[in-house]
Amino acid sequence: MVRLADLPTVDANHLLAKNTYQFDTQPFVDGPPLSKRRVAIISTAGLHPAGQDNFNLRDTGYRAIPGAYNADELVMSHASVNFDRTGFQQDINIVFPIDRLRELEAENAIGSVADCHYSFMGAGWEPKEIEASCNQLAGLLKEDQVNAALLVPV
Amino acid sequence: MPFDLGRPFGAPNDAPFQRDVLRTVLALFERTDGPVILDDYAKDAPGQGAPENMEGMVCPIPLPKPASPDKTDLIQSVLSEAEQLAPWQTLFRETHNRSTVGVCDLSLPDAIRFLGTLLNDDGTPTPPDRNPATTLRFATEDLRNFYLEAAAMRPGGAASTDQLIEWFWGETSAGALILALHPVCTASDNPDLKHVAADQMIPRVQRYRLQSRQA
Repeated sequence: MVRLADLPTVDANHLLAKNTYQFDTQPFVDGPPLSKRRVAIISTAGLHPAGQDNFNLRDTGYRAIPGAYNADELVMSHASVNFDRTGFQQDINIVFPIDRLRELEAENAIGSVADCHYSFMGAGWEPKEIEASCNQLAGLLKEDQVNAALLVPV
Repeated sequence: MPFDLGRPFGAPNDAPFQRDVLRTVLALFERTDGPVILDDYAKDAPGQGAPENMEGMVCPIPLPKPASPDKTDLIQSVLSEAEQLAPWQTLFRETHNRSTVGVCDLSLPDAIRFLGTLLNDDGTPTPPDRNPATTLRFATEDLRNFYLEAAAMRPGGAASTDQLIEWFWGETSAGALILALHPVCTASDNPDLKHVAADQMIPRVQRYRLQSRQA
């Protein structure tokens, strides 16, 4: 997350004005060492394969990105115009580090890369608004034996 | 990660840096001192905080000054700019083997003409299967991405992100077109069109230009 001090004042004030959600609990579990973890990317950059529907104006759903899909063909249809797109134009790994993840898998730093990855369109949703989608996604991750979710904000 | 919004892994085309960021993040899985673990990544991204002035910024090809506020001139001017930039955007596509242009299902010239119908508010009927708010959103996204991809290919080295953004919004007819659409679409009776125009068309840091256009 960018430092507030590095943002233009108008953007910093926008973020400071947001309500932060207070969770009732703080669950914490440990797990196997990283070398045994199966990792999936969950992005909020509004990414999806070119053939899938764009994220619509009030889209609380997610899009699946199969691991075999050519990441260079991913589309970004995020609604916000307040973040930089030029890095994404140059290199998909700036928001979706699939090549970097595969490199760590090749050197056995992680156990494996998941068969499927996912993207939401992060747009300031309250947790309740995306809870149903997240519950559904959790089931898909369990089916894929994923035990490490790499959450990548944009 | 203290990186600019839109760049969670810091720097494009810098695999070693991205790998270091990723290793640092994944190492959190081996920590046991939760439940809440907050750590700052100690390094800034390479190239972050580059000079923000426009000195030395050269457009891929010299574009004429943005057209006058006359609406017909403005649309023609954007079509002309896009035609001049097309070879550079094609070069981007061929060099990177990808493009971020294409979220709108219209060709770029058709997307520009669609924006023209909104600007002119001339009663041109929107096809029944076309949502004007969605088309506005993705047409402006494609237009901006097309220009930024073309500009990235200019000879003489890459401009900073800030330079490219300032160039688009301050020096091109495409930027002027989107700024001109704002008052028209925010006055629309269509709530979705109004919403897109108000929040999803012009970055917050560029909205000061709206005041200067009205002055």
